[in-house]
Amino acid sequence: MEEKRKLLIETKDLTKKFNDVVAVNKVSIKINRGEILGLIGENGSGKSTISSMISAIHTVTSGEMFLDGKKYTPSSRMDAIDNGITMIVQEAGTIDGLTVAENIFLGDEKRFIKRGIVDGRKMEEEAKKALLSIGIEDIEPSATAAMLSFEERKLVEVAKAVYYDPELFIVDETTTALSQHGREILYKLIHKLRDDNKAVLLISHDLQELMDNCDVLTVLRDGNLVETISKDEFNEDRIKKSMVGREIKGDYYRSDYDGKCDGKVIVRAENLESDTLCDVSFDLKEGQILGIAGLSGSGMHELGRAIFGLEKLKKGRVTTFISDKESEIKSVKDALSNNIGYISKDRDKEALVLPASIKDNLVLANLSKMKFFITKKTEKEFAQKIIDDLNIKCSSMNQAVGELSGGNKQKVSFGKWIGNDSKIIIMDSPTRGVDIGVKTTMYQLITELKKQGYAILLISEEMQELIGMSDEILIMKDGAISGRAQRSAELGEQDIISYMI
Amino acid sequence: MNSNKLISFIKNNRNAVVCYGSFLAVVLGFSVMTKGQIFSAYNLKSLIGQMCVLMIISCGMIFMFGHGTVDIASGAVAGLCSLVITLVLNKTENLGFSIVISIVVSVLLYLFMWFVTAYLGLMSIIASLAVMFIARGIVTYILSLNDGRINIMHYNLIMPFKSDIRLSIAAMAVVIIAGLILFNYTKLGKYCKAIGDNKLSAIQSGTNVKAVMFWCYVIAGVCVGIASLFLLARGGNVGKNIGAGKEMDVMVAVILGGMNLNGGAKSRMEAAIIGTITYTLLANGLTVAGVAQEYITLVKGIIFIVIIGLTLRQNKTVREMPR
Ligand SMILES: Nc1ncnc2c1ncn2[C@@H]1O[C@H](COP(=O)(O)OP(=O)(O)OP(=O)(O)O)[C@@H](O)[C@H]1O
Ligand SMILES: [Mg+2]
Repeated sequence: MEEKRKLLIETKDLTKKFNDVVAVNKVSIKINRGEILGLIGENGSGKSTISSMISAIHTVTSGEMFLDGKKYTPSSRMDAIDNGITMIVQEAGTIDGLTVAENIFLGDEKRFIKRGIVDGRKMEEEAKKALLSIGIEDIEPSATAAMLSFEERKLVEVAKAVYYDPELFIVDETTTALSQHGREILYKLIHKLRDDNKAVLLISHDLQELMDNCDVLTVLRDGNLVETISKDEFNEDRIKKSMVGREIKGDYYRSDYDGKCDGKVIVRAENLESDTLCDVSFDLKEGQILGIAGLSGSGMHELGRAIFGLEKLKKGRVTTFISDKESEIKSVKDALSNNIGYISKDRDKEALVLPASIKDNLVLANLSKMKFFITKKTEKEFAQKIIDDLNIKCSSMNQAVGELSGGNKQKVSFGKWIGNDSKIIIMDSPTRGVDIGVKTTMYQLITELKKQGYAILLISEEMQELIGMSDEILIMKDGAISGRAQRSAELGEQDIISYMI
Repeated sequence: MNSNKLISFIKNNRNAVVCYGSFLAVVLGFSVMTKGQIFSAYNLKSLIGQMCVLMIISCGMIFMFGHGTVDIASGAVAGLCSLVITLVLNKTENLGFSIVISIVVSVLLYLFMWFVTAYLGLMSIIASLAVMFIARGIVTYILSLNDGRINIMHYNLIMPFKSDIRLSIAAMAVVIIAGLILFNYTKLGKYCKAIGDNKLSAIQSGTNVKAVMFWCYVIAGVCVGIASLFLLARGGNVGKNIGAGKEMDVMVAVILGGMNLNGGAKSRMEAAIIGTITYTLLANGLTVAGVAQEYITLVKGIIFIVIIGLTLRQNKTVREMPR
């Protein structure tokens, strides 16, 4: 443990400014070989920005970087890769229109050029190898990225990053996009890299995950480096305090263990069948939080899409009973007119309008509730409340959502549906990439919604979140419901996992 | 440091910079070049007359560009509507009735585009191309039955729309105010911009895309229908080139106003208003300054390319920032 590790990369007073906003302020960190360095900090503290500078996605405003003792000034992402630095970005890093193989070798097609044209077959073979090397068998290299699920696309990125034998492998907030299986693949990979004397930079909001996997933890706050903690000093409360600058207290999840719901049924799914779903039936009641758990490919995300009218159903029907009116949901339009809200997991493509301002995004989902004529004042008050409630870090409410940090985008995506007139909310991974402080607020808001009689379908990869929040959990496997668990103090992760596999 | 701030200000407010920058440049440039003649009372009056048609159509087109439809049929539809007004007027001598019919025809043509785009899933520009040919075709056909020209028998009825400047001002004012309110302060405008940026998220946030597009097309149709009256009044009769090229004028005007033809959050009604003024000043100023007509078209083309180039670059940099 105490043997001296060799320094791989070092930053000196690294600074990044976006116009007037200082995102990263004179940060000096050292990343050693044979080490997994964790990076933690609240949303918008500069984690993605630092790693983006190292991997040449962003330019450096001031400060220096040294790689193996030599000055390192990468000119492009491909240049960074040539220097042995690969990164999995927080948001989608694949391009929809390209195939898996093309995505993996994007920017590096030269290698496959034979007599002036790219040899597609050879590229696909090589891509297959890349995928197999990290243990993924069921993704076809010839499939277009758009056809893959969100998780599969992330795994393609992982395969791509590892294919180039990185010296430094940066993982930005990726685990929350993966299911248990994908996470295991990733953990195995980073440990292997460490054992091979490479370096890993792991960014996450999951303290447990960081403490389990990292050797050192660096804490950021508002773009500044607060401290670096070594493994023998890891302690949950200490890290939290260092992150936020104050003690976090209060209930994290719901405090009651009353899973009984006497509300009337508001959504009924009967025998749903689609390409992935297989005879799924359940009732969702007023004031109920119904959790959906599952592994990748279990159909949990598709179930959410089906209730919102996005999934093509071969059989079965979704019915809502809003103020005793029965209506069938066949399309998104039906879903919306029957007060169903949906927080998509794919926030960049489906949930948010990136070029539009925070205010516009928040107001958009609530327009149906507003009068035809909308004053600036109404908009501002409405948006300010959500920004304050969720502590969205922004320079102003007129800032484009695309400029926000990942977690802050998620807050906007979540905030849209709070205070909206929908009575049924489907939340697909609602807390993805959100820091602990704001997660607590979100959980309180969800509990509040439950009390107000909202019906909530909570789809999540986070077992603890499901156990902590749901009245009942449906566990899915191979497109079907394989088990149910009622809320109780004794319910543990193991009880749920046993139904998943 | 200060120059850095200036650069970042320009980058962040590129649309506003294009809009007011080109406006100021044109105003100052032509004041000097024409020694102030361009702002003589007489020329101002003719300027207002000239900009009226363009202003009304441009305001309507913001709703089209805003949600991402590049409409190229407005000139042809305006031409057809002018013909319709003439025919109805020659038959009935009823001005109000002829205006109503013009608006109805225009709206119907726009709704046809809407139907093709929304229900048959065709690209909106294709639908608009089709309507352009249909409208042009009808005009050409009817004119061919009438020796290539149809005169207005009761020109005195519509003459005020050319000679009485107050009518032009009133029409523009109504359209501008309605446009500003609808686009900035109502659901319609907000939904419209959201569709322009990201249709998928807009849908999932509760936008009824077809309904929003329906109203956008209706607004565009109404504007073109109204503008046709002024177009006809200024033209005096219906020839085969009536309204030709108006769609391009509209595009150059809104681009000069800082509009991004892809639509979305950055769309502003001001782009149509200021852009039309700038554009009219430009065209008029060049004429007053004695530049030959052929060169004027060339100048328009160059401006179009330059500003399009600038706005396209802007899109790319936004997209190049994955995080
Ligand atoms: N392109 C941009 N333009 C303007 N500001 C930006 C841009 N990218 C990031 N920022 C700002 O920089 C700050 C740091 O962002 P960054 O993405 O590094 O945060 P983060 O630590 O990764 O947060 P998260 O946990 O939410 O992912 C934020 O305040 C963000 O608003
Ligand atoms: Mg981030």
